[in-house]
Formats: sequence, C-alpha cells, structure tokens
Amino acid sequence: MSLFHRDTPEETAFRTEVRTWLEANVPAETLHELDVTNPEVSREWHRKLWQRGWIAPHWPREFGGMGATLEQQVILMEELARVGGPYVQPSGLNFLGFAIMEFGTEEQKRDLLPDILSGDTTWCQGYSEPEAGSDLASLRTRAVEDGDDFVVNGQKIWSSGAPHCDRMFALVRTEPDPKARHAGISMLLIDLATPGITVTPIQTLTGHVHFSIVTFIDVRVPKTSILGKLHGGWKVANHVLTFERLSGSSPRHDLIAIDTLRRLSEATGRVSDPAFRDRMASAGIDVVAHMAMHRRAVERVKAGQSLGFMASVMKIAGANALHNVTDLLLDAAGSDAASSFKHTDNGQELDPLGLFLLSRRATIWGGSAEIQRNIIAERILGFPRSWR
Amino acid sequence: MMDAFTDFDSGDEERLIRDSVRRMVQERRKPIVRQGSIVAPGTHARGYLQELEALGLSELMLSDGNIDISMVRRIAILSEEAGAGLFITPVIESIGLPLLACTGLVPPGAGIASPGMVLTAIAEPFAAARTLPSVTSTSNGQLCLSGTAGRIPFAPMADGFLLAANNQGTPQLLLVPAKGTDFELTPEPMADGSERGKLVFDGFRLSPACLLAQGSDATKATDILLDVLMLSTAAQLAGIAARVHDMACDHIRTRHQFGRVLAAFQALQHRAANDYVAVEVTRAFLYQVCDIWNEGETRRALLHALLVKSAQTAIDVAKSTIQMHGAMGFTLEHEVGWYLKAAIVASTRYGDLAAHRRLFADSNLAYW
Ligand SMILES: Cc1cc2nc3c(=O)[nH]c(=O)nc-3n(C[C@H](O)[C@H](O)[C@H](O)COP(=O)(O)OP(=O)(O)OC[C@H]3O[C@@H](n4cnc5c(N)ncnc54)[C@H](O)[C@@H]3O)c2cc1C
Repeated sequence: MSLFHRDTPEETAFRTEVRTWLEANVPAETLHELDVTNPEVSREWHRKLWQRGWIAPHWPREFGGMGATLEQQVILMEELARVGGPYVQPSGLNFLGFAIMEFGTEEQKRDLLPDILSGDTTWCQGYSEPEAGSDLASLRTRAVEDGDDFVVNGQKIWSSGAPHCDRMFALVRTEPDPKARHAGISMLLIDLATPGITVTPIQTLTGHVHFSIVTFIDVRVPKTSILGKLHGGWKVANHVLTFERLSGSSPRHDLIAIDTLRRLSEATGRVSDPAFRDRMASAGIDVVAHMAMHRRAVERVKAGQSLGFMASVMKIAGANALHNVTDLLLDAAGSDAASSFKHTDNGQELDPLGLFLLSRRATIWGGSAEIQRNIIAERILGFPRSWR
Repeated sequence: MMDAFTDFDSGDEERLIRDSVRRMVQERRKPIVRQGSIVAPGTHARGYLQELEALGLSELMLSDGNIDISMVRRIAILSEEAGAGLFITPVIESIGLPLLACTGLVPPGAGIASPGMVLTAIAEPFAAARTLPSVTSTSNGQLCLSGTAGRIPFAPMADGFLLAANNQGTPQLLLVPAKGTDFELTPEPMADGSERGKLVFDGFRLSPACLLAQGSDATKATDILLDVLMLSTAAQLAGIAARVHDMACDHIRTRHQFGRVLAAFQALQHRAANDYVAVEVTRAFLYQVCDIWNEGETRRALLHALLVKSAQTAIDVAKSTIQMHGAMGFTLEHEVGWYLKAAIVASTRYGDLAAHRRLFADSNLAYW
C-alpha cells in the first residue's frame, strides 16, 4: 500500500504479482540509473515489459494496451519506481501514441501503434528549436510541398532520446506567413534515417547523452507522414501537451530522492544531527503533501473529472518538493558532495550530486515553471494577460 | 474560482454545510472594538458549537457513533470556514466530552450535569519535558488535584475543563469545574485577541465521579482529542490561507498603478500563482488526511506534517498578501494583519512547529 491509499484485495494481488516479477526480471546493471546509460538495455527492458503485457497500462485495449484501471496504472508506476528499472523512452508511449489514436489515419494506427508498444520503433519529440523555446509558436523549421513529398529544412533542439531513437514527431511550418501565429504549423512523422538528417548529441548536466540537435537539410518526407490536417499541427501538439497523465507529476522522483536522502544521511551520520533532522522533516513534509495532492488528483480522475489547469499546479508543487529534497542531499553528503568518492548502501552507490543536478530539469522541461505560473494566473485566477 | 482538488468529491450535503456555515460566520462576525479602535476584527464567540446550536446546525459537528471519515470531513469544513471568517473561538475545544462519548471511552452521559462550556485542557501536549497536574486519592475517597496546566487555549471562557492529569504515573482524564478556592486561572492575552490561560491547582478537591477515564483509556481519549484538535487547527489555518489569498487576488484585480491593474504585472501574477499552489497543496493534504482517518498507525505523523504545512502556508500567504497590499497591508485597519496574527497563534496552539517537525522526523513516515 502507499501512504494515502489502501489496496483492495485485488490490487494487493496485482501489486504482489508486479513486484515479484519486477524483482526477478529487472537487469541489475542499470538499477536506479538516472537516465539512459545503455540504450540496448533500455530497449530490451521495454520489450520484456511489453511481452509481460505491462508496457502500456494506460493504453486502451483496442490499440493493444492493457486497459488497466487507474489504480493498476498507479501500482505499476509505484512498483517500477521502487525497483528502479532502466529508463524507458516515454515519448511514443506517453505522447505520440495518444495523438495517433486521436488524429491518425487507419493506416497510421495500423502501422505505427504496434511498434510503439513492442519497442521496435522508438520516437522522440521535435518541438523546440534554437529560437523557439517557451514561445513554441515562433518555430521556423520549414516543410515545403514538392510532388508527393515535403522538403524539410531547419533545426530542432533538446529532442529527448534523439540519439537513440528511430523517428521523430516534429512540428514544422507549412505556411510561412499565416494570419495567426498558431496557424500554418503541421505535425510530421519523420524517420531519422532519412538522408539529410544529422543528429548531434548534447550531454546534459549529469553527463548523460539525453538530447540532441537535429538538423534537416532538404529532407524528403512523404506526404502520407503528416499526422492530422495540413496546417493543423498546433491542435495535435496541444493534444499531446495537455493530454493529462498523472504520471507527469507523480511523486516518483521525490520518493527516489528522499529514499536516497535517508540512506545517505544514515551513511554519513547526519541523521542524528537535530538541526539536519529538522530540515529533513521540512523537506519530507512537502513530499508527503505532494503525495497527498497526487492522490487527490487520482481520485478526481477516477471520479470522471479532468485535471484541467490543475496539472500546472501539480507540476509546480512537485518541482518545489523535489528541489527541497535535492538541496538537502548535497548537505547530507557534506564535504563529499562533489567528490568522486561515493557513499554506498547495500552495495549501491548513492549519487546525491547526480540527483541534485538532474532535478534542475523539473522546472524547465515540458513548459517551464514560469510558464506554468502564467497559466495559473491567467486561466485559474483570471488575471489579465501580462506582456509576454 | 474553479473547483480544485478539494471539493470535487464533496456531496450535496457537504456543500450545503459549507454554505450555511459560511453565511453564519459572516453574519455573526463581530469585530472587537475598544475605545473606538479595532482590537481584533475577528469574533471571539463563546464557542463554535454554541453558535451552530443557535442555528440548529450543531448536529453537523457531531454524529452518533464513531468518529468516522464523514465526521472528520465535516469538522474540517467547519474549521476551515471558521478560519476563513476569522471566527476565533473554541471550535473543537468545547466538544471534547461529546466527542469522547462517540468513542465509548468515557461513561455515557458523563458531564451532562456539568453546566456551561467544558473546554479541553491538555497541557503542552508535544513539549519535550512535560508535567501534568497530579492527582492523589484522599482517605475519604475524594480526589485531590495539585500542580499546573499551562497554556490552555481559550481557558478564561470555560466553565469546566476536561483535564489531562497524572496519578502516580497513571494517566487520568478528569472533569474539573473552573471555579474553586484552591484553583487559580491566569489569563494570557494572545496576539489575535483571544486568550489562553494557566491553571494552577493547589489541593483542589474533586468527587470521584469527576474521574472520566484512566490508564490506557485515558491515553486513548487524550490522543483522540489531540488528533481532532490538530486536524481542526490545521483546517483553520487552511481556511486562513485561502481567505487571505482571495483577498490579495481581489485587491490586485482592482488597484491600478502605471495605468493598469496590478494583476497585469507578471511579478505579482507569479507571487499569486505560488500562493495558489501552496493553498491548493495544503487543502488537498487536509482532505486526504481526513480520508485516511481510519489508518491508525500513520494518522498522528500525518497530522504533525499537516499542521506544519498548513501553518507555513497560512503564514507565508498572509505575508505575501500584506506585500501585495503595500502600506495598507501594514496597518491595523486592514484585516490581513489580523489574519497573520491569527495564523501565528493557531500554529502555536498545540505544540510549536519545531516540535511537530521533530515528531514527524521521528516517525520516519516520509521514507517508504
Ligand atoms: C531535460 C529536458 C528535456 C527536454 N526534452 C524535449 C523534447 O524531447 N522535445 C522538445 O521539443 N523539447 C524538449 N525540451 C525543451 C523544453 O521544452 C524547453 O526547454 C522549454 O520549453 C523552455 O524553452 P527554452 O529552453 O528555450 O527556454 P526559454 O523559453 O528561452 O526560457 C528561458 C527562461 O525564461 C523564462 N521565460 C520564457 N518566457 C517567459 C515568459 N513569457 N514569462 C516569464 N518567464 C519566461 C523561462 O521560464 C526560462 O526560465 C527539453 C528540455 C529539457 C531540460
């Protein structure tokens, strides 16, 4: 059971089944990795979960998903976090898949969805550009119609997983001077092996090869690769962005961080320093409060209501809670915080600096914290649009 | 405002309760004015239950049978509205006896004969070193009470006390009248206009019928009372936070500077957005704790966490609201300062925040 939910007997049985299987099958070499360290192991893990039927608990059965109840989804999420399995490329499973179900042609559904599930095709998201970040609608990558193809020129950046992925769903400008900023953008499904594409990996602050620059020079993409309508890409993109999945703001990362904090402070002895315990309590209280909010969100979705703009509230609350804990991780490590020496617990290396650095992304990706605050101010509190 | 995480699962009954209590609080709210100036803008009514009774609403607070989830949710709603309306009054403190009657830990009908308002007096519950008034039995079967119970919230209002005491190491719960020659009450004014008091007993004689519970029953009874008091206090703090946040939003929507409303400036929008997040997390936490009320092992630790979170939110959002009001927020005329004081008083009513954090850390609850 988790703190705010007592499993029903069926849920307990499911949890036990999941836990037993995970513990027997998780590859030991990638336990608790912070990001993809070995793409092959990640793919293999994806395939294993797929074969077990657990890769897409949130997908409807008609598209090959598990059609799991919300509680089963939460249980899987919790147990995966607990066992600390390898990183699974999420873009196809969590974003693109749903957009294809909603906007795809019958052929696209038939051809693309099964491979997303099996892990045979992995996808990355191509929205951001060097000059288009928070202001995504200012994107410039061009796609010009030419016979049966589009010819694509431009650059995408920060595409997570691009160095290891097979394809990209990319927002491109199909109309250079539209009347409205959001018009004239289309969603293209692009094979990254197409001639004219260069993928230049970028290392993240944690040293992982997580994202990249993807450059397109006269890249020919068949017209059948458009998802949704021509010039209708903004609608598809928004569907992807606002598709409400509770997993986005789940307390998973807080819990991993706080578990590391407990183990590290025990290893370093900080745990018995009253001043330090006081700060641990403050950080822990924020995590518990965030868990409570997440639980209420689950209940709300179960009651058939959408999260709406509360997703922005949850994102900020989650990032705040996480940052409190990761700040403390550095203190718990003391003078070893930034050295190559690592404390271990049960044979596992504890990486406070890694978690601290990794947590910086929580307020940047998927719409920065400032953008979430703009959304709360405008859409929830009803304040006038500020200059932006 | 949108239906957030809190009210989505409220049934019609809970909504009705919230609406009628909110109306009552607004109608009954009377600032205390002394010599022409506002001493406190809140109401210091004799007791929340008494106010509810006058409206025929008292059964909303108490129901027959156990203290169950629907009852604690109602207590949370009523307490939130009390906080939001700056209705500074013993919300739960005056219903200790009927609450315990629900649990069967005190004999049925106990205290019915005692007139007036009986307030809960559990001295300094979470202090590291703590002494309770001590009880001895006299040769003629009477009880004799000596010692001090300090910092008892609202004590000067009481006609009697539900007092936690100690009889040579055995915890006891007594029903004690608030009058007597061997009893002294020293009132202590609080920053929000309320009062607490120090009770000093010096060989105070009581009939054996005053002993309501002892041993593990007395411990259980005081624990239950404390749990409900903590929940209610946290809910009052959540109500304060939500109200001052609304106040700030209303103000910046209408005040103009530089040719536009303040709410158009992103710096204030983001401040308000952060406050909104804090209020929503706190209220979600509050109702989530209500909903797992029956999980006995984790409840107390969660209540420590909830009190810290709600106190921090109420105090932070009140400070932020003062900031958004400019100089006007820094006056005794504007209510927001009184809300801040009320938040500080409530946050120290049952233990201080450092104690709650310490007890939460000791529980190891956050570490699965
Ligand atoms: C780990 C990670 C993974 C990512 N993965 C992907 C991916 O797979 N695909 C993809 O397309 N993108 C991805 N991104 C990019 C991400 O979506 C962008 O970083 C984000 O939208 C912000 O854009 P930017 O980095 O250009 O910052 P900018 O938009 O330049 O913002 C810089 C700063 O200014 C603030 N700011 C900007 N506008 C405003 C405003 N109006 N009001 C107040 N403050 C403002 C921002 O909050 C930020 O603090 C990823 C980013 C990270 C960190």
